[in-house]
Amino acid sequence: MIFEVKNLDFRFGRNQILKDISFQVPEGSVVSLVGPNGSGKTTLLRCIIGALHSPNGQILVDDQPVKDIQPRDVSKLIGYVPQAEGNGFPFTVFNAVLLGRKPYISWNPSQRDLDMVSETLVTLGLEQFALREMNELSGGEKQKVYIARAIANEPQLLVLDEPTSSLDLRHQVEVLDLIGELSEKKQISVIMAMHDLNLATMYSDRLVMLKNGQVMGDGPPSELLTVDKIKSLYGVDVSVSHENGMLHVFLNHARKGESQRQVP
Amino acid sequence: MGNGQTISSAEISVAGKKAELLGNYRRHTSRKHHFILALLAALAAAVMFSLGQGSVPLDYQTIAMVLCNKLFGTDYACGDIAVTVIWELRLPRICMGIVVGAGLSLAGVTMQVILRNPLASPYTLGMASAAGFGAALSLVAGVGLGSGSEIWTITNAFVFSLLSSLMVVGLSRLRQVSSGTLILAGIAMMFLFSALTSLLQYIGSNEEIAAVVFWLMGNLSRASWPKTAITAVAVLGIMPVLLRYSWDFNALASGDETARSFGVNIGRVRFISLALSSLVVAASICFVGTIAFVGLVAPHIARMIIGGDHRFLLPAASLLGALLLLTADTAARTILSPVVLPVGILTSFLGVPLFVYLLVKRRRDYW
Repeated sequence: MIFEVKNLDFRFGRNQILKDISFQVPEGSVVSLVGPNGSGKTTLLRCIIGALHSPNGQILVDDQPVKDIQPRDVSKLIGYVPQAEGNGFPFTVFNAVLLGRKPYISWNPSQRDLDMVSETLVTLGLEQFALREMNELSGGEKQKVYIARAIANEPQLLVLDEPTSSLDLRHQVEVLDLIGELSEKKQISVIMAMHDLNLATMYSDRLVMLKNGQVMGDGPPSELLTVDKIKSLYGVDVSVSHENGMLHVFLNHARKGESQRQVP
Repeated sequence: MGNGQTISSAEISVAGKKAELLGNYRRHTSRKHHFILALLAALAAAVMFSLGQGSVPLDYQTIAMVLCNKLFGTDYACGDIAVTVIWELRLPRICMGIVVGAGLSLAGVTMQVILRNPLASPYTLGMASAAGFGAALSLVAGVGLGSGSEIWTITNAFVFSLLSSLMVVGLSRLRQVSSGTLILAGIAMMFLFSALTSLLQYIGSNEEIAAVVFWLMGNLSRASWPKTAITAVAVLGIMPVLLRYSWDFNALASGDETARSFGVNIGRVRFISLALSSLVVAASICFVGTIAFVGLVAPHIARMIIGGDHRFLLPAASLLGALLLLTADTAARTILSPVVLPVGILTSFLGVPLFVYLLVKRRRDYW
């Protein structure tokens, strides 16, 4: 499936949040949205999953406007992984993942629904949590459950909102490895909002840079992540190095108040 | 060769884990079915027990014979008094308790998940106090929709409680309104109508004040077959509609965006289910007064026992609400017999200890 955003505008009242956004996600590739807070990443993701509607511009799946597809069918195409969900109702992990099958279920889940859920749980190593409640899990485990829920939906496009923002290093790598593996094995396309440029580089085929609601750059990480572009995007000084075929971004920022600080 | 073997053994272990997982899930689910069946049995037992209690004690044999005569047209000899006591006095009251308890609890579950707030209930949305004001208006001022006659008290209570929820539901139609805002609007309604009721009590005569206070405490003594039938139609008619939304409720519990990504039409689900649950509440409390406490606590008790899957939670909470209200009413009729206490007092006495016990017993945070 080829996913495309074409000339998308979005405004909240008078504030124009997104301006003429266009980019493509080829089948099975991982695209990261990078950009500072308030650059429109989350709004763009919410437009993609259909939580927000814009009168201007198009969102296309294989050249067909998403608007023209039944909501139930759209939800079978696109799986969404939120950044976090508020603690709320007691809900077991199994049921949370079963919710991913909602577009297929009318009342009772079918054998296929149950098989799909248990397979996803086993694949992600979540089987020992299956009957525990969501409220009992750690941040990393919850993030995996959200991913499992989106995968159980058998989507062709996975949309993730900062999947690593609240995780420690090990879980960040684990979650991103998982996403990379899924896109490779099942040919699922991925769009994710990312803050960490190094991780975004490591795990994405392409980056889309957003600045003030506009696309500032779109291409492979090695082309986009230059000292000048990062400076213009975030307004901080960095240096970029290439080591062992990997690209690293370092912060070159002198801390304010450093001179007054006494180091014992 | 060796490689092939490790792959197949890995596949076997995955299949084994899957089978074990599914088995565990099935056991987990069938426990929920059993709990619902147990609640049904408990409710039936409570009905039989309650029929025997009161100023005219009746044994189970007589009760069974009267019920058989009425329901299946048999012709056992059981005496006119027993027939009148059971069929005209106790059974309508018991049935009213069941449908009102079930209806309020059903509405409570719905409101809590739609507003994603544990405090949502017919009380916090202002419906109970609006109904109270409507009733007081008829009892004290004899204005609005008529004089102090019972039919007008009922109509007033019904209309005003719907009016209050209409405000809140109307707000929910606006795009950017959060559930917190809706709750606050409901609480504002509650204070407004409480203040208006206090004003009426201030200007009313002693008898009128007594009538208002009695109404506000809520009781099932005015139950009759026609009233029970009306409430039953509302509750039993709306329950299947809300049950059909079970999966949408489950999705909504995980947040608006997640629900939207599963294709839930949030605005429509929210509007329809809030409107329907308001109708259930109005059709319940207009006859029996404000027993709204059941609508807050029974959903929580059921959720703590059976979990947050609305396919099971909606029926379980309804049955539990019915059981709680019926037990409370039976206690209200018998504890200080021949004095009959208002059931509203007893539901709190019975419900709060159970509620607090379950809250404390849980090791982890419940909400």
